[in-house]
Amino acid sequence: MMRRVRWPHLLVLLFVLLAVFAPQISPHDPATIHPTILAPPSSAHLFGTDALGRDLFSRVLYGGRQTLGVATVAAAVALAPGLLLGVLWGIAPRPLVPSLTALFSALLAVPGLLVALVLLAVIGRGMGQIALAVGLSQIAMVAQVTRGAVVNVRDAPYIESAHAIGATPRHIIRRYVLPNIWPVVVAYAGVTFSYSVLNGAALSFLGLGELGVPDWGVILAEGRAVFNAAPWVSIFPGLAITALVFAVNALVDRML
Amino acid sequence: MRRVLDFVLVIWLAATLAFMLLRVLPGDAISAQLALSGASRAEIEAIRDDMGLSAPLSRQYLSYIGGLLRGDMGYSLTSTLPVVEVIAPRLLPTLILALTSGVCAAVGGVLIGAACLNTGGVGRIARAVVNLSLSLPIYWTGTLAIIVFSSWLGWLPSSGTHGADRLILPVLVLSIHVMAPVARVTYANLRQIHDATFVRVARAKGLPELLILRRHILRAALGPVIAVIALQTGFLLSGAVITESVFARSGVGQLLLVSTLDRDYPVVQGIVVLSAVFYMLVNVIADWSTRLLDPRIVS
Repeated sequence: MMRRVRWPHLLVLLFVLLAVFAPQISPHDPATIHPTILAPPSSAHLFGTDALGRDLFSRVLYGGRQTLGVATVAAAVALAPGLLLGVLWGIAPRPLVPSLTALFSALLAVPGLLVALVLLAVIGRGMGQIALAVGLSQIAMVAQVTRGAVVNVRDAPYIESAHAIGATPRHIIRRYVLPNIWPVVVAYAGVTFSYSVLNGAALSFLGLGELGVPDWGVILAEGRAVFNAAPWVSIFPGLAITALVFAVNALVDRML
Repeated sequence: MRRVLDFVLVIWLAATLAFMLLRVLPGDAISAQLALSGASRAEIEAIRDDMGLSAPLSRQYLSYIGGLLRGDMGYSLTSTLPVVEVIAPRLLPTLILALTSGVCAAVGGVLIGAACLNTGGVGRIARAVVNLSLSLPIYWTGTLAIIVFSSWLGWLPSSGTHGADRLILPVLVLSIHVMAPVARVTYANLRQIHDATFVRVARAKGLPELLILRRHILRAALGPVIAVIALQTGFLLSGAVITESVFARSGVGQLLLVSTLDRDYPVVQGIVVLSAVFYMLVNVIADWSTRLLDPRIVS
């Protein structure tokens, strides 16, 4: 099936390309200190400079690598086990279902960001830790969505007929269940990525990342210290997060 | 009765998971924490005995659950006060923030969701607002709100905990964030119900459109909307952590952040259990009100 390429595809692609080719594109080194501190956007510094005189455009470009990297790892950490658990939950024998449901309700009763914070209290600070915590905190959500999709196809006639011709459970899952829940899973992967961008940057904004590794959340936090003199330091990284999440969400909407 | 059992079961499971994660996994993290603060080996041993950390895990677990039942959550590692006393003074500011924002988001979400139905410019703007606010990071809107309303216009204070004027910006920011999913579900539901048989009957009877909307459509659409509002509790609590940090409000969210950075496990554990209780309470209340509203649902 061919889909028409529209602006969300292009915008997401643009973000990925900017992140990959940040070293080639960025006009300055993101850590180099220029004499003009807190300079407003100009032709020399497209996004202006920050409190130390660093070029904000270059910092946002490099920050995108961090933010996209963290979100990609987090989404992978959430999706692989979440998908597996969701399928198992969906096909679990009837007597097991109430206790599984209670277990997942308990996991879902604590909000994702709180779970991520608790995990960070255990595993410590850092960008890798943030990616891991954001990913782990979303497993229960992914499992719930996957389970819903599995339950929807579980009693379909084609599954019944597969049973009837003697297909093994393993074969049924691989050839009948997975292909049919795939659209939901792919769309939800987009949602997971969006959440990971927002929550990953939130945690580094809150100071749980690493010094010297500025993602968009850290740049935003730096901007808060100088928002009176230089609002642009706060505006551009936030704009980047919003545009990326907006594009991914639009992509998801088109899939559903 | 089943509901009450479910409620207790989920809280117990959440408490147990928090216990396993925070007391079993970090192993001797508490001793490490004490050593960092300069305690001697003998002191650490004494404190560990005092906190019951040298007892076998099964006994620790039983005394932890027993304590929870009596409302005792152990002692904070950083202030040595009981966890309950550390959390209690923070509770009210967070509850006020969360409940006010929740109500604003519910009302705003339903209104904007209804506005999305409009086929003209109003609907287009409403739909764009919903999509945009789903993508806005709350820590960014918070900062922008401070820049515009506190710094440039000077209308409202940018930080602090007490007083109604210090509540306006945080509530505005948090409710915009929580409003979007509510609006989305309201829109989807209204669109579906718009062509339902009972609505067409009402139209065929010649009832005025506004009356149909109020008496037939809204009543049927509100059930799922209430369920979604209840599910936003998670968003609301996550958002409260960030909002409190952005606006320097001393609430539970900020306490959780500080305790995470300090690795004050007992406090973190207490807040996790409390947030699970809050989430379950909101969902039970939502369940009841859905039943009251929609006569089609029979328990």
